[in-house]
Parts: sequence; structure tokens; C-alpha cells
Amino acid sequence: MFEARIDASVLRECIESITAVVDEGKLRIAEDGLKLRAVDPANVAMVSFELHRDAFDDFRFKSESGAEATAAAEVGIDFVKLRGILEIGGREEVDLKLDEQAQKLFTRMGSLAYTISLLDPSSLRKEPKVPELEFPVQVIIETEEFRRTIRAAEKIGDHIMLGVDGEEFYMQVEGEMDKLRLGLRKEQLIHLTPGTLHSLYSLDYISAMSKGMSHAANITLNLGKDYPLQVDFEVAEGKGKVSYLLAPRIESE
Amino acid sequence: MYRLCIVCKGSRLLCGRKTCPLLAGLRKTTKFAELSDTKEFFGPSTSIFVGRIGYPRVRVGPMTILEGRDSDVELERFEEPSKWFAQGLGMDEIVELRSATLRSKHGEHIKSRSNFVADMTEIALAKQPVDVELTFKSSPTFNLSFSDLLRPIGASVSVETMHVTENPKIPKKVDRIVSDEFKVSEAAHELYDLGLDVYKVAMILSSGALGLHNAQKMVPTRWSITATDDTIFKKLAAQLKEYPPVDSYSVYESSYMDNHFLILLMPSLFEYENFEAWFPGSVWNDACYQRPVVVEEYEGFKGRKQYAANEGGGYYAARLAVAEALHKMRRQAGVIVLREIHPRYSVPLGVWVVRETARDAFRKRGERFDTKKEALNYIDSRLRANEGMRLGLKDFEVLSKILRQKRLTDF
Repeated sequence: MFEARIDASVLRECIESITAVVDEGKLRIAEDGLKLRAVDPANVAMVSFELHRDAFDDFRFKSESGAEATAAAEVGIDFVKLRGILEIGGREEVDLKLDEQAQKLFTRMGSLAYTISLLDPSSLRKEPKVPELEFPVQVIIETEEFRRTIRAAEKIGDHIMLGVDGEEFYMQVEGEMDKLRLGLRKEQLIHLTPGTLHSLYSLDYISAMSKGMSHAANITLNLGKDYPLQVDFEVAEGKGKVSYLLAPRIESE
Repeated sequence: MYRLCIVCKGSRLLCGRKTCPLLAGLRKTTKFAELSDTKEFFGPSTSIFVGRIGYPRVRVGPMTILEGRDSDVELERFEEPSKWFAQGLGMDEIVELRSATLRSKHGEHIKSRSNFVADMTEIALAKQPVDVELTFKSSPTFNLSFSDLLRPIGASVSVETMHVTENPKIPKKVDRIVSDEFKVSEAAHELYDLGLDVYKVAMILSSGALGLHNAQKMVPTRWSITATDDTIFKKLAAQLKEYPPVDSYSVYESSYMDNHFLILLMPSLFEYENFEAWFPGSVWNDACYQRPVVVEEYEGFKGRKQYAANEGGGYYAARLAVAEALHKMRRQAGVIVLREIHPRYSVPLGVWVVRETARDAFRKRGERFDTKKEALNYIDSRLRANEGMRLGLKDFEVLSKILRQKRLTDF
């Protein structure tokens, strides 16, 4: 049994952080809140998502399979569809109610009721293994600064370099004709581990991700040399956590 | 820009000229020029043609065969690229064959429901060639014309009237589909499922027979070809994206008229990348560039939203052939198509060359490999040198979205 009530804009922010990477996935509902981990079809990007029960105005969950506190329900959700519904709703409260037997999720916003059929979890891809990674460098930056640079970069090329050179963090993109570089020194950032390294990433993926993080004030970038990028940020005013992982591109010699 | 001609392929006149100088250079008069005094024509029509210039007021009409009546030639031969491929016709033979085609032009609005248009639609739907009587407005011109997308056309003429002299035989099932209230894409799928090849489906689409009845309109032949490739692909793709991935790396290969294809299937969910490498002297790489020019287009699992402008119709034709093959295997895959175009492909014959050669690659057994590295090494060894000029796999790799992207599973 799962019934909950949450501010529609908070839920929308959460769903948007998921749809930045995947269209659908298995949402795990447990007593302490919601969790999801999913990888995109090309195995290039991953999203890990957690939303604590405190983010809800009302949260009731009871496992149908057993009484243990660790029990959870796993439901397959088409997040793009759910986002579409929330976009109609506006700023109201959303009531959610899960019917596991019928495989339906009931949503109600004011007088608008919408029933979503759940996806068969066996038709969804397995929850991915998280690679074991160690990041030598960490940068904390204002989200808006990051997103603005990504928007500019989209106009120039299709991949972007993120790196640290001494006490400077930089983002750099080169197109056929043009070049764009953002350089921020340690004092212009919230945090920086000095070092010398960089990696190259596909802008298609980073652009999509940058849309998913738009509500967070800051983001933490974890970097390595020719290494995946991990971006961490908070949603739902700190009551939720999102982490993106993105595999790098191979640089040309 | 050095890639201009390769991206344009004579279709969009990106150089700013009024006609494509590369295509104009290929113009030549056909042996039928002696018929230039004729004012009328009676003979078989095998297809229809809808122009694009002046859209939505375009010039449309039946395509007829100049030597079809008295000789006992097989009329289907003039229209069926799959047969040309199967019989291994060369460039000259195809040009020769198509030089017997006459395109008639009659001004019509794409939404017109005139008798002329109704007759054209029947010709498009008919199972066999239909005899027509045409009266000309002017003298025909007997210049062969070529395009990146279309089969060559031998002659053209403005016509005053058309009279269909027999009852076109329209298959019942086809008739049922076009009379029903189907949307264009649904109707196109239905026709394809009946076993009609994309050439016929595209012709029916261009005739304006498809779509909800109050929205029906003719579609320029050029556009109908890529639209059909794209529509049928989308249907196949929706199904094949549910299939399990292939379990090893395999490379398929075929070559036709100096178009050399290597197709790599990789175990992953569907994604698709297509390369064209135009060698100096091949159609769109006028010999002024010293090096082969490589262009690339890519789409991920979710599909693409923008037109594949770097490659145009060839991208869609090859993608359809790949989807047909995967659908038959009941598998999905990550796909890379390499197409090398060598100098003997000096005249553009239409996008069917791409479709048929790519289809043929899958008729043969592919070479299987356990690792990506082995598969790529094999491809590298199969790329063809031309006059000492040779591309290696790394020339494609640097541009590749698929090969240069690491996966999370690599860590």
C-alpha cells in the first residue's frame, strides 16, 4: 500500500531530474522514501535518485509482501508520461495512490484525476551496477554558471572538455570554426580541489542533464582524467539527492 | 566550404547558382531525339512523377516508356531497382534503360482533384503498366537528367491532355487500404505489409492517394522517397527496439557500381551511425579535392528529430535496409554503416543504389567476431584503396559518435 501527497512543483522537479537521463525506470518505494537507479539505452549515462519521505506532506507505505521494515515495492513508471501530466497540473498538491494488484498509479490534482498504467518491471532493463570510481578532483559550482556555459557550448560543437588546471576549473568546446572557454579560479567557485586533468564529454548528454539540475542552486562535479563525470545535487529543498554519471569520450590523438 | 557539394548533392543549390554545375555537366541528349517533332504519344505508363518546383503548384504527370509498344520488352524493367541489382546491371545499362522514359508535365495544385490527377492516381495504384494517350503542348526535350535521389529520367514534355485507354487493374487489397480512412503513415505501413516494395509505396504516396480524405495531397516524388523510407523504418524500429541485442560483433559487406558498403552490428541497444566517404572523382567530390571527404550522421535509441542534412536521402535508405535485416533476425544492435564511394560512381543514379546494396549485404553471411577490436581490425582490412589513396578505420573513428564514446560498463 502506498499513498502520498506532495507539492506538484516538487514532484515535477524530481521527475525532470530523472527524465534528463531516462524515459522510464523502476521506482523503488519503501518506508523511508523513493529510490531509483537507471541507465540510458546506450549505457553512457546513469541517474541515481533518492527522495526522502520528509519531502512529502503525507507519506504512507506498507509492504504487501512482508512486514519487515526493509520491504519495498518496485514499480515500472513511464516518467515522460508522468511529467506530461504534472505539466498540466500547475502548482497544486498531488495525491498519489498505488494499486499494485491492478498495476496502476492514481494521481489526483484538485479535481483532475489521472490513472497511469504501470510498466511491467520485467520489460525494463535491469538496475545497473554502479562502477567503482575514485575521483581525484571535486568542483562545486553555481548551477546557473554551468548551465549558461552549456547553452553557449551547444551552439559551437558537439563535445565539451571539463578540466582543472592548477587552481582553475575550465569548460572548453571547439567547433569547426569557433572556440569557447569558461575559466573560473578557485575563489570564483564554492570549492575546488587543485590538480591537472581533463576529460571530454558528449554535449548531447550534458545538455540533457543540465536541464535536470535546473532547480538546484549548486552542483558538485567529480572529475578524473579520461574518466566518467559524476554530478551531484539536491532536489526538493535538500530532501532529495540526485547523482548523474556520464562516461567520457575518447579524445582523438 | 569544401564539403558543400557533398552535403548538397545537387539538391539545395547551396553554392548559390541557379543550376548545379556538376549535374549540368552530365546532361546529354538521348537516342530518342529523332522523336522531337511528335505532338502526341500512345503507349504504356509505368509510373507517375510529381515535381517539386513551384510547390504547391507543381508539374505532374505519368511516366511513359518510349519504346514499350511494339517491342516485346518487359516494361517492369524500367522501374524496378531490385531487379537491376539482381541482374547486376551496370551504370551504362541503367542510363540506357532510363533514357527510354518520358516524363510528362502538367501544372496542378498538390490538392487538385482534377480528372488528370485522378487518372494519375489510378496509374500509381495499378498492378501493371497502363496504356495512355497524351497530346503534347510543346516539343519534348531529350536530355537525360540525373539526381541524387531519383532514378534518371530520359525525356520530358509538357502535356495538354491525357486519356487512359484501358481499365487499370488495381489489386483489391491495395484499393481497400487507400479507400479507408487511414492516416498516411498507417496506410504506408499497411501497403508495405502487403508485400509492396518501398518504390511502389512511395509512388502511391506521391500520387496523393494516401491520408485522411480531406487532407489528401500529392507529394513531390523526391520527397516521397525519403518520407517512405523514414515512415517504414519507424514502424520496424518500434518493433525491433523490443528485441534482444545480437550476441556478437558481425560485419556485412557488399559492393555495387563502386559503392562499397561495410556494415557493423554490435551487441547493444539500437543506435545507428552512417558514414559516406566520397573519393575524388566520384559524383559529388569533383576532383578538385585531393582527399576523400567523409561525412557522418548519427541517431541514438530515441531516434532523430532533425533531417540528416549531411547525407540526405542515402542516410534514410541505408537505415531502412538495416532495420529490415534486424527485424528479420528478431534482434537489435548498435549499427555502423560505412559507405565508400569510388570514382567510377561518376553519375548519380538515385538513392536506390544505397538501399539495394545495403539490402544485399545482409543476404550474405556476415563475418562474426567475439570482440569489437577484432571486428574493427577486419573492417580496417576491408576498406578499399583507390589509386594509392586509402582510408583507414581511424579516418572514420575520429568522426564517430559511437566508437569514440566510452560506456559506463568500461569502468
